[in-house]
Amino acid sequence: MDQFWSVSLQLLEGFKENCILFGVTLLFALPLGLLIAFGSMSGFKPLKFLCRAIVWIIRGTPLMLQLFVVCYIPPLLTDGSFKFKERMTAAMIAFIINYAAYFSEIYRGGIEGIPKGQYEAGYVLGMKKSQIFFKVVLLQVVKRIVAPMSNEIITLVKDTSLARVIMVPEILKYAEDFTKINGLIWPIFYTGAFFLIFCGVLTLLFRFIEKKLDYYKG
Amino acid sequence: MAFLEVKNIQKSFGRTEVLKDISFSLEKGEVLAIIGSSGSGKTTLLRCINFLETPQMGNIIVNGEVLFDGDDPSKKKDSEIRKNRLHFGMVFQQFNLFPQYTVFENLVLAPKLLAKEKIKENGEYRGATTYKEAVESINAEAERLLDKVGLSEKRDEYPCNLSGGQQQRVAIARALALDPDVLCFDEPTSALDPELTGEVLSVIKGLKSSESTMIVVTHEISFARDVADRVIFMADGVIEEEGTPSQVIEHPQSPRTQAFLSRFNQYSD
Amino acid sequence: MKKAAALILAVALTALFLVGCGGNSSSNGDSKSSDTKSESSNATSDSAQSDDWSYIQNKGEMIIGITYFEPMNYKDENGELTGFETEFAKAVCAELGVEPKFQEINWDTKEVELKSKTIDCIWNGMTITDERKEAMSISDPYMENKQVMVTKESNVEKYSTAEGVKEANVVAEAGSAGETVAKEDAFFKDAVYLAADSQAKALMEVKAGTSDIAIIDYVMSIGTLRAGSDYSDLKVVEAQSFSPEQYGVAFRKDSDTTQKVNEAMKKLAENGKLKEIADKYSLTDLVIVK
Repeated sequence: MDQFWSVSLQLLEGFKENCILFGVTLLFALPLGLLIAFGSMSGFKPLKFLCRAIVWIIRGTPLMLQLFVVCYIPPLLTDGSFKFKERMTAAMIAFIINYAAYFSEIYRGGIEGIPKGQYEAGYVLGMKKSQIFFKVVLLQVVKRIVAPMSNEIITLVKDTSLARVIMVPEILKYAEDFTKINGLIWPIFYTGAFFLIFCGVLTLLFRFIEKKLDYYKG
Repeated sequence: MAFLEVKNIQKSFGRTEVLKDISFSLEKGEVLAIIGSSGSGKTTLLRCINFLETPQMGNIIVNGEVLFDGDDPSKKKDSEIRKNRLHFGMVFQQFNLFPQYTVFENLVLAPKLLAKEKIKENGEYRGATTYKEAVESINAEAERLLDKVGLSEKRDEYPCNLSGGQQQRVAIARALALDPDVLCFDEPTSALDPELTGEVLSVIKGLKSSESTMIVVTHEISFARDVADRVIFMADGVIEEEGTPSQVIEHPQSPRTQAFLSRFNQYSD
Repeated sequence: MKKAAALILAVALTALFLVGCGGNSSSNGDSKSSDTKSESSNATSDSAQSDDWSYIQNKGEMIIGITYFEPMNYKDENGELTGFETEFAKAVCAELGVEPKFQEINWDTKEVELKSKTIDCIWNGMTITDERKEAMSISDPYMENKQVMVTKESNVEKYSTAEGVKEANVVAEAGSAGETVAKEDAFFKDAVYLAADSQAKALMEVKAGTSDIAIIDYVMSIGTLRAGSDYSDLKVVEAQSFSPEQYGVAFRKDSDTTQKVNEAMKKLAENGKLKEIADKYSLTDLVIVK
């Protein structure tokens, strides 16, 4: 029992890192994704192609590889003079860019799915473009993207454990260390409980939001 | 000079010329019906008048004020286009109500935004000098309009809970809430089940007064005949024939008008 | 709205680029001479890294790449890093007059870590192989890497002979010394080999019964098989041990640090300090620096 508590406490210590990575990624990737979405819908061709190329590259390569790239390419190129003091910083950058790319596509789908008539109705009522976006389109976009977003965000929770490939001390790494150092196997499987609980809470939260937005259809 | 003058409007999409030199005028309080087969340019003409499309050439003049001049090469500022649009109201074929707002909120959203802006800029919106005052009169006007289209009891419903006919009546009230000089209807009954067209047409009919000027693009020939003061028949981007309903619909001169109307009569019999 | 957002994005991206380039150029400015040198080293990879020691000396610290395993590098009950390699490395650093700094690494990317200078050496019971000698500069061997068989207690007797191992399922970490034994030693010529992605997974295979014998490092078996662990029902087959391979410390290719560390290790062997540390972890028999 003692062992169970000490393992739990240590895993919790690791899971704190997962939560930090999760929170910081969301905080920055959500707005950055919106910017990329606007960029990839822009009428200014070079910007549009740049944004679509970024999305293509990020979505077309494994997150694990991106973690390696962010962590090791800067020091390799600068012969070791530019490196991340904390590996968590490298993980955050890789995760933010990766998830911003995925979010941007969800935003784009949501925005492009709004019928043209909604914009035109706003125009003929003398509304400004910004008013149309914030007062008419935005909430409809939010409603449209809640489901795909919640999917992606729940994936993010689980993806955070990938940060261990660049030695961020997250929960799975702690668990693997228990196996390697203390010869304990069960902590590996036990980590599942932490993810399940976190994702369970998120699922409830998203269900609540969906319900909140369910007062109208269309 | 007529209340609304549309002169020499020309509009192409790429190489396709959709409107070729369209001119007409309308007096205050008149109802103009535009008929014609699909693809004849009726809807595009209406969209040009509402500044949803920019014609390559021509003029649009309301009450002596030139709102659009095709010869003026300078690009119009957004704020100017917005100001010009307020002379016109538009009712769409697909209603285009804002789904996340109640019926009442749909009516007051744009006027409230406008009032806030005007009071900030000029210290005044339709006689009101404070935003609160303006909102009160906007709300009262919205209630009056809902009553006019017979939907007072649907005030707090969301559009998804209304029938198509009811939604279109809300859309009409919403357009009226900004008190436009000219109210345009783009095939207002085309998206409706046949049994629902009547309620919408009778609302439009009820709006007819010496004060309201209306342009109705429609397939309802009998409605055009009953309600319109003047009728335009369009074909291939030109005005083929225009005049009073009795001239155009009862006694068409052009062979194309005759062909169109006879085809129509076959169906409606 | 769209345009404004597009503009913000463009500015943000430009800023990102500038930051990237800025970091680059400032680093070039910092140490012009060393930079050009290392560039040429990448090209020829022969003359190079002769200034690796002065690079480490200038920093004042040697970043030591480790992975956790008992008794080499592990955390004691207070969470302090300890172990044979930890103390050995600390002693060497003290000898050389630099601060040791331990950085846990991913074993799969150890060469990248070394090359990108996120670490300065790998000091973690690393087996010396020809491939590794080719890719990195490796110190004189300091310890023997004995490979042992681990199996369920009830099978210890059976697997003590080559006859008993016939048709048994043998598992080892891919690319490890254990794998070499399983594939090449005559003792296992009739056994069935399976690769696992770590020594721990190899043990898990045996524990789960999906394999019969795991071949792992002797030092690994000390920590993981002790009483109270999930593997306490597994035992080392004492009758056999294999492949006297050796451990070394790895540095960047052609680094001059290797020589410095070799000298320091010798000194520690001579003054008895190394034996003292080895005794503490009951590894004295395996130490080979004389």
